[in-house]
Amino acid sequence: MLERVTVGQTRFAMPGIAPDSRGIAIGKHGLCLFPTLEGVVGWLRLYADEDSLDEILPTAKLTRLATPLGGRALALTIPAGSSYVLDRAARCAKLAGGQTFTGTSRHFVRYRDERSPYGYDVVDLGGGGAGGELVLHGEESSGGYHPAGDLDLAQLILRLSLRRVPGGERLDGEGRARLLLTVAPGLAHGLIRYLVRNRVDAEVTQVVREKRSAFAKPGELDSYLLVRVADLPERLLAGLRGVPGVSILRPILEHVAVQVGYAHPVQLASCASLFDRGKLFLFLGDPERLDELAGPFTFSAADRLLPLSLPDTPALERTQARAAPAEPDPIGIPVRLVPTLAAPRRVVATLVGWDEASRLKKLVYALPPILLRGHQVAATERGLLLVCQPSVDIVPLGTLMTEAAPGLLIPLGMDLVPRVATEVIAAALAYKLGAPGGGSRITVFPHDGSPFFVPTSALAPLERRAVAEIPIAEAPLQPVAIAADGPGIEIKNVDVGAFSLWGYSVKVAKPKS
Amino acid sequence: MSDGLPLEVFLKSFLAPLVAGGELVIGPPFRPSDLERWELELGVLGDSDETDRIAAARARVARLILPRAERIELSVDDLRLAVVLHAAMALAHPEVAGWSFSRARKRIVSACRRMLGTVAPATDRATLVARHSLLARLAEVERIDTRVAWWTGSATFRGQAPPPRLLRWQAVRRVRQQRVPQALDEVLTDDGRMLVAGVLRTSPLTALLRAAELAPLLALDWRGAEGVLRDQELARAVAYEWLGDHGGDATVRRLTLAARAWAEAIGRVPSDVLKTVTAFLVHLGGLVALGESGMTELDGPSALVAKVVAAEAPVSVGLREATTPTPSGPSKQLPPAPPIASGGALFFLVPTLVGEVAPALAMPPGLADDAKSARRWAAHRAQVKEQGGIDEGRLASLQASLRAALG
Repeated sequence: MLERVTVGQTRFAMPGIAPDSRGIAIGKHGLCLFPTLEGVVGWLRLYADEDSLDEILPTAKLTRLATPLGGRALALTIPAGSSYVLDRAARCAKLAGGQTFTGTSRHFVRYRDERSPYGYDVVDLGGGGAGGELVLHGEESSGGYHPAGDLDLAQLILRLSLRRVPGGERLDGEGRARLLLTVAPGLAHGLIRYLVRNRVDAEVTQVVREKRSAFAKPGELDSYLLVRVADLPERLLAGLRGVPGVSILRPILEHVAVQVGYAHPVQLASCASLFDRGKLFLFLGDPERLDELAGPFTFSAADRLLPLSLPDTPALERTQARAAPAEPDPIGIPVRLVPTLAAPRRVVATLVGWDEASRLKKLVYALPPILLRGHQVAATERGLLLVCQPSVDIVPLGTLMTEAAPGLLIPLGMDLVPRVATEVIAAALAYKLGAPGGGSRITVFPHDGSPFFVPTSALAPLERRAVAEIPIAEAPLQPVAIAADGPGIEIKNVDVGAFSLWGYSVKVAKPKS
Repeated sequence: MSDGLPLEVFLKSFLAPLVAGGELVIGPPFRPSDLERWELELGVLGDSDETDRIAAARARVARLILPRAERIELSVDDLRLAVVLHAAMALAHPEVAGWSFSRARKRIVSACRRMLGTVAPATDRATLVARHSLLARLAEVERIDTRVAWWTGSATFRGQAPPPRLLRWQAVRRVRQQRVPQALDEVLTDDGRMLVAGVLRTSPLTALLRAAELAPLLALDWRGAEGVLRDQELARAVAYEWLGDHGGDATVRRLTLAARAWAEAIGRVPSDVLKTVTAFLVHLGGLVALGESGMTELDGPSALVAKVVAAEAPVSVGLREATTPTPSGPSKQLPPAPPIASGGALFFLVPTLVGEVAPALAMPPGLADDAKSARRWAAHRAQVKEQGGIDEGRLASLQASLRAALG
């Protein structure tokens, strides 16, 4: 039996409890009793949303209890730092279907509720549950429990399955600012080329983990590529989503990441103490697993992994060519385009012929404004040169152009020969064309015809050029007088005759009130 | 003499053209008995093409002042004013100008003055706007006089078309035609001008809005204008109309006339009316300063102020024009008094004069908060002081009168 604690009560029959600063009777620990493990998980989820679990996890203990009659229960013991902590714990436990007790060692008494705001004290300490190692004094009876083993609370949290978040795949700019990709070894080069071509800032490292497969030998290692990307464009994220072998993870903490589209049931940010700072924890939802990767990790720039194409000319021939420099022949090798199988560069421009200009106009009508925003266009004799910003896709019309060097555009899939450094070609072009007056220029090597250049000052935003010239005539200003316009008013005297005023009566009109 | 003319005909031949434009058919004046009959007819008059045309034209005028103006129906007062106007124009008919009609003309004038006396003064916004919608275009009325000269003689036809016989064989008879438009004030007789002035006096809003155009017919007089100036929307319409032509001649004329009428009103109108008028003039000066606050040289001279100072019309304090109808005929003309300041400079001196008597009226509220406008305001005062040719003695006398009038 319990009795209610009154205001200012300092002496209790219950051992190990004392009033705190608010006069509430609490012990050194709080104990939340749950009938099932789901209740414990529910309590963890609720509590982690409200407060940090880091404060209670080091000393918290989850114990499996058994009653003399064979009943099972789970007791979550947490340190009772203050009645505020226990208040929060009790509220969460009530929501999760549990009860809250407080005490110090063996005896725990029911924690305060609405009926007894200052807590409870026991009337008869030996009234029930005398045989149990842990005695919980409830409102109606007291029960004894025997501990039947402890559960690791940290492992419980780490083993929880991720839950899918509808719409969680779509990330805003802040969410895409820093992402991690796990890439299967076979996809590594292709993905790196894809990222570098799209000018994504990426760093890579190789990670190793123990293979968890029924067919794997014990201790067999599995490795995959871990890519750290910054500001991944939305369209790339959408493209990578669902690619087998590629998982996209979003960092929750510095060393914890959760797969995009999934969320851990417990707020991981509130239980950072569970994660060893020397490791990297990757929570994957599909396939469902947790990768604990031992650090430290050193990332390398992704573009260093791109394959390099070596010149076809044998070294001997090159040596011979260098050996005969006496010929006064200047560098007479014409620069021309040849098809190449090298990794394609990112498309940055397109040359739309005038025969396709009408299609471009139709496309401009159809495209949303946000797609038009990053484009610039210059109208030349050779066609419409459409240049896009780094983060914008080009309009799929005309000859797609890539940037061989800054300001040097060549068709997609083509390369310039001789294969000298593009900077050398750019410098040669600058020498040939002379110093640009008043600004830089863009040199274009089209498939057919000679190369040409366009001053960058000739480029205008497409959305501005898309609007045809609107004939607007100036309306002459006219001061508006407060008088209605209309035809003039003219007096027209009609014939009245010689006796028109004869007999004019002076009868007075009656004034109207 | 018209006999039993239906109201519909009068509306079509005179009132509709008066408000909507067209030919004002002027025949013999209508008798009071006609007016009595029309007043009865007006009560049972349904919607017709003419009433709709008149209402639409009046609504157009009203909406330039009040955007949400409602339909204005023809009232008995409107009818009386129209009949008086018709009579005033009929008196100028060339066929009734002979000496034999002198007694009849006196009877007509007398009857018209009685009709004017029965017209209720316009004090509320609806009446003011309705009255203005009737008379807004009065200043546009003109008469085309045609002078026809042929080889043996000539003839002038005033508001009438010359007979076709005079225009035949033009080459042989060396016929020459000259059409001369005559403004209303040039057309009317003295009695007619007096009647038209009386009609205009029943519409203070028209008298203010068209002050410059109607100046030959009616001297600007602030008496009765308080109803307009105390209504924010109407006062705003007047202010914008006066300053609307961006410093044109009309603006200069209006400001000059306004300052002159203000000086004449001192001691002749109640102090509250004088305060209202003074505040309106100060507000106008504030608008001028605000309009020039975008200038580069905020302390430089103002073109408008220079124009107003250089205006020809002298400010004549104490001079009343002989436009007030009196039973004994036109009043005696007084010799013009010497001006207090050059042209219309008095307009820009009003805030200075009022400043020492009623400081609250000396500057539009809030103008000092706008630094640019405040600088223009000060620049205007300085420019007038420099260029205004101010007679300090008479100015001090005027200020004393103002102090006495404002209490």
